Amino acid sequence: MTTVSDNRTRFVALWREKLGKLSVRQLIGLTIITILVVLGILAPYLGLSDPNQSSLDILQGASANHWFGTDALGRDVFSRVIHGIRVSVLIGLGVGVIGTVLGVPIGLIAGYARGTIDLVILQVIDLFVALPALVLALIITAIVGSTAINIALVLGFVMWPQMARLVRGQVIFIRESVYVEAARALGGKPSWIIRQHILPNAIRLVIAQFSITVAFGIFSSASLSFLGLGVPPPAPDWGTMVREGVQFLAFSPLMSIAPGAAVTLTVLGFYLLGSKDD
Amino acid sequence: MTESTVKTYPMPVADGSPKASETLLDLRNLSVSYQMAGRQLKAVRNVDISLRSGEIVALVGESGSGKSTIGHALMGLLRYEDKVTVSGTAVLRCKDGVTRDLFAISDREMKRVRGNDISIVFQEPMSSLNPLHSIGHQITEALLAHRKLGRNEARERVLYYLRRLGIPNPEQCMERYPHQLSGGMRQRVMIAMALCCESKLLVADEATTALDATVQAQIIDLLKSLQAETGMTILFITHDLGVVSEIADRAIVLYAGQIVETAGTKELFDNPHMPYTRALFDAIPRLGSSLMKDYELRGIPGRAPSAFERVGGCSFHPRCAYATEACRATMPELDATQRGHLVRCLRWKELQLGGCDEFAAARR
Amino acid sequence: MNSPLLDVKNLQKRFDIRRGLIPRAVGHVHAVQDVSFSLRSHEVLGIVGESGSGKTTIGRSVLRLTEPSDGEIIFNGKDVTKFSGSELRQYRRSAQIIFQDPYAALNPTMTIEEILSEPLIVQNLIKDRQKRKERVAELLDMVGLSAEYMTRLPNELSGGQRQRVVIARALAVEPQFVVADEPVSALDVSVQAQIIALLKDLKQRLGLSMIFISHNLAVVEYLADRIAVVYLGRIMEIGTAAEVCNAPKHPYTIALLSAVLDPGTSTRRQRVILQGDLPDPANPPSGCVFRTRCPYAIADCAIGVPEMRSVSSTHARACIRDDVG
Repeated sequence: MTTVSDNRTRFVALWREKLGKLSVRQLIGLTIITILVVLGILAPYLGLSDPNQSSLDILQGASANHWFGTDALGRDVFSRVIHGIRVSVLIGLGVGVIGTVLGVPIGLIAGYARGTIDLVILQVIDLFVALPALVLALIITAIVGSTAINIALVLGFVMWPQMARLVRGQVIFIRESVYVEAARALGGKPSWIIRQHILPNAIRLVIAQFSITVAFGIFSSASLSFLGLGVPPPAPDWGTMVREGVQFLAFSPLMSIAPGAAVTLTVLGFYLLGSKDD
Repeated sequence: MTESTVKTYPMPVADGSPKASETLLDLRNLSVSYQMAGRQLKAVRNVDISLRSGEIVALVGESGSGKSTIGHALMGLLRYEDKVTVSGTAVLRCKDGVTRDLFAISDREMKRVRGNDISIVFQEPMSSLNPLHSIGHQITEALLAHRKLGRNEARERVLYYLRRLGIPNPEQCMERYPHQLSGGMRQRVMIAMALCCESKLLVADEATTALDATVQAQIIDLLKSLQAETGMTILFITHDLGVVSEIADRAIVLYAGQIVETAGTKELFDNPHMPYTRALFDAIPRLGSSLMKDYELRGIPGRAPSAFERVGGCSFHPRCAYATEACRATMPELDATQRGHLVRCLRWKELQLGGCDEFAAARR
Repeated sequence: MNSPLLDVKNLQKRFDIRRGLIPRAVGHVHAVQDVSFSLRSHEVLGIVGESGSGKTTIGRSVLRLTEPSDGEIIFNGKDVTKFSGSELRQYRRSAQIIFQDPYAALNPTMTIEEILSEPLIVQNLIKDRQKRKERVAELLDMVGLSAEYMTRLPNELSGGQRQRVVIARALAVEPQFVVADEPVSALDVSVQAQIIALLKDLKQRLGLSMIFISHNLAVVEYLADRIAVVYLGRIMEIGTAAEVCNAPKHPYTIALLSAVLDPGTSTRRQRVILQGDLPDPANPPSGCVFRTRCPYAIADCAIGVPEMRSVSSTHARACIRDDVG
């Protein structure tokens, strides 16, 4: 019985220690993301007007009713920006998950197997890295069509090499360590060594890179939308909103600035969370 | 011309006097503390060291004893660290005849003293050499920074010292880059670099520890003969009692940031008064043990306290076989015995510890 | 005498020097050349050499942590170099290693209990969790640590305590022999002696056989029954500890002994100073590899690689001169 509570206090202490280890930048990032995610989840319950409800009050400036004004169809910009969190963050997380699911195993294999397999994978990674990711994503999206799922898949697909490269480097570093050699000397199979030694030590980096990938996903999906290849309307998508607002920039700047600032803030949050300790 | 230039570099004789008994460095009441997690950690506590010209003094201790911190404090390497406080005085008689307190002078003055009046050789020469520049370039630049010399003159002097350190083909060595040299060669280069500036005080911080035994023996012999020639003073920081007995005139034993015993080397090895010193002798495997039936190597139980965990009373008492209630309660002062022997132990008068050569006697 | 537990015959290890875009071997370093020795049950064999001598490579080759290039390693009548898969895993239960650096040898994210459970899980020795925990406590006790350490992480332990954990991990599978690769050289003097004493005690208590690799002749003399002195990948001299350390017959052993700085003042030896540094291992001298630094070298030394010649039934050296020592 005592051991259970011991373990629990230990667990709590461990997490407290982990949070304590976050740098100021990471803590700021975490705070931004937490606020955004809470807003996004609660969006339907905040008493905002329906983000897709058009009205005759088009292109209004900021007012008590419409904090960020309304757009060309008379929709409430503030409500659309808040609801847009869901679209953006979900796509971003999708990109992160796909990039990680593809990148981590490929990086593991390259780093652990080495030799010819590593050489081939490394060439593929370099090829991807050499091409501008956004242009690549643009071309593929144009071919496969722009639905939310496609965008997440495509962006995840162009981002896996970054993750794979990072994981590969870390695996090579850890597999040369003395404690992995000790595990080999004990007769540990590769699967054991990866599970027991390599993954637990690589996880910190993977989490950081995941965060960076999410940031990239949010930014890129907004860029794609801005170029007209985004989530189809009428979903409240920040990139699309910026594009729609551009033609009214002169007299209704909030229409573009508000979603643009939302993109910046969200991307910043994930970048800060994923940034290395300074 | 070149021929004569080489010849005109006899090693400088430190003082005219053959006895060389003048005090070169007087370190008084040195304390170094680190600010960590809101606490003051004392790495070095009230250390007094006085070095006479022409002496080789060993500063002996295990990790955490504060021996390297003392060396770094002397070299002014701690003054840029904002969480470190150095207190005390270190009065050095500089070459220009002026005495300076190394802890009171400005950064600019310290820069001039370092390399000019004090040189240091570290354990890992690779980290003190710039991988991007050739050996010759680095030593010559270091020399020119401290001396008003012509480039050719400087080069001649560097070559002279490289040759003196037994580096075969010094001209070729000058063209090499640090990674092209073996560990032993790099360490020789570092020593040559330190000697070039002809400072009177050389601080060797574990300078031979990373080397192979045969190379270490070479370098120690070399340092000894260079010292005899130049009359420079060497402060040899080490954990290796074998090195101490080989090179030092006098040894200072540190434990947990304090001096616990100091004496002439022979006196210390023959007649240690501090149980820690004696226990260290028992902890070193000695050659010839295979011929002795009942020889047992005895480790010291436990471990040295880190700066985090200061012990009340005598800092060695938790590991000491002779500790009494009094040792737990009172911190002993340094007590003078005879022939310059100082010991920090409450019970030194009653304890008969026996010397290091008991083993050698038993072996015979 | 009983038959040897381990018989190493003509062990070779070449490391290729690879260059180019698609790396190809352009030469090689002979890290171990023609090394033969045996290890008997309950015996400690010391291997002494300086950096670049190949002593670590010998130990790792015997354990198949490095693949030997050539030669035989006979263990219980079978050639270890031919093992693969399950046979190799089985061999790892019999042969274990103690590493030099106790800071690097323990996974920083695992508790001591997890670290000591690893061999038991990997080798499928104890399946029951509770029993495993009991065994871990037993192992800790064996190396002089209390069971309290189970929940600690490596960075909460001192160097000496970590090295005890490393030793316990190696002994967890109850191996027939252990390769100890410089197990004390990363530790403080007073702690070194504790670990050496522990190893000696384990040898006596468990009848452990051990290959003890070190650069420190005094440590090896204390712990080993027999000693092999290696230089540039070859054995120079092999014999009982007393023979090698007190009646050396090879110039290199003599030089190595004279370089040991013995504390104390009454035992000054005449030092043999070796000239120069270790030759480039990729390009070793012809004939005797030691001749370029040997104070006894004669013209004949360059002609052929000297064979091992017996001094006594237990003592042999690879030197063509009879007047050494």
